[in-house]
Amino acid sequence: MHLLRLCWLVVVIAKALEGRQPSRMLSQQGIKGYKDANLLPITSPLFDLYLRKFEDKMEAALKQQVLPPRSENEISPLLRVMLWHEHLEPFLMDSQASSSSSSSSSESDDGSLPDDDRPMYSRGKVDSLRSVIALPRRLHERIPLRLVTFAYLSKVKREFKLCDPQIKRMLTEYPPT
Amino acid sequence: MVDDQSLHTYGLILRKLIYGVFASCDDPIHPSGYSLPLSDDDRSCAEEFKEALARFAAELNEEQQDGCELLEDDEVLDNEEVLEEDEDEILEDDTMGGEKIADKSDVVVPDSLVNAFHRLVKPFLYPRSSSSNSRWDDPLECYVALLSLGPKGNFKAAEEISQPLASLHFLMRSAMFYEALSQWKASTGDLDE
Repeated sequence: MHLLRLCWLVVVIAKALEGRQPSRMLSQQGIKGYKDANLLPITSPLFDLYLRKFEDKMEAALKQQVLPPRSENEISPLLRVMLWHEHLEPFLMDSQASSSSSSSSSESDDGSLPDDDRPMYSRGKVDSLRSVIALPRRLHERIPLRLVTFAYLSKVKREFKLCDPQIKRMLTEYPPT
Repeated sequence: MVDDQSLHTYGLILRKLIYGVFASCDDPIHPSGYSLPLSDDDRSCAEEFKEALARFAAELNEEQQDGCELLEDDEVLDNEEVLEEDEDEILEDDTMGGEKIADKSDVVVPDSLVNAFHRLVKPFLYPRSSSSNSRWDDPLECYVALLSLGPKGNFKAAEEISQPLASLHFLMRSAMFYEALSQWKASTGDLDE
């Protein structure tokens, strides 16, 4: 968890310097990419040594976990209204990380968790949750429903074309419930 | 008026909803532990449609064995793990993709199946009463939440989610129109009078 924090610290520093999306840059370049591009402000040999030693672990941790949106900057106005993150959070939390952190964590004075013990999303759970509404992976399994959907919408389109404009207006303004 | 490509775009939103409903009806529960909050009526409509769809798929497969190459997707075997994001690319591709052949073929989808499809989707696209006054009692709200979840665990920004929401608005109007049409046909009245 500590490694991941450091990783994100590096990303945030680089973001402040570059003003670009951290996750996108990381996925394209990784920590090493930042260093090679001289985007890291720290040039200490000790920091280089630290990066060399833990870079792989940091990258691996980043692939397994995702920071959930918490602060005002991370929660967009849309998300604040829709509250999707609150609804889906129980199904996204990394249970292993949260259980280990809950056993060792102590709450600060204001009741919030210390930064290192903040619960994380699991990438595996993200994939699993997204698969609830995913299409079948094999194309031939998709075709029957695709045909039915297309037939349904085509019928609506065809019949709507034949409708009198007044009826279209009536249906738009006073839909049957 | 929307073109055929747009119908597929709108249809994709609808298909994902249907697969979400199917996943929520499955026993055992989906590995994620998540399920859309379906009513008993939703579940029975889903079961009915699932069976009808399976029969339709079997008929398509029989046609394929009789020489029609409708479902011959050998050409895309290398892409068996195609994600939904790639689907439009397949459609745009001029090569022999399985779905593209299906779209161009003269497959007749039975009216009963289309009607069963409408019975399934209508409750989700119509206003839904809730006793708890929680928005998460509405399957469509939950579906939109799932739709907003990005592959990296982020939630889509407003500009990314606006198109699916516009598609849902179109689909709601479509369902209302189809319902009106069905009721008119059932009452043998004349819509133009």
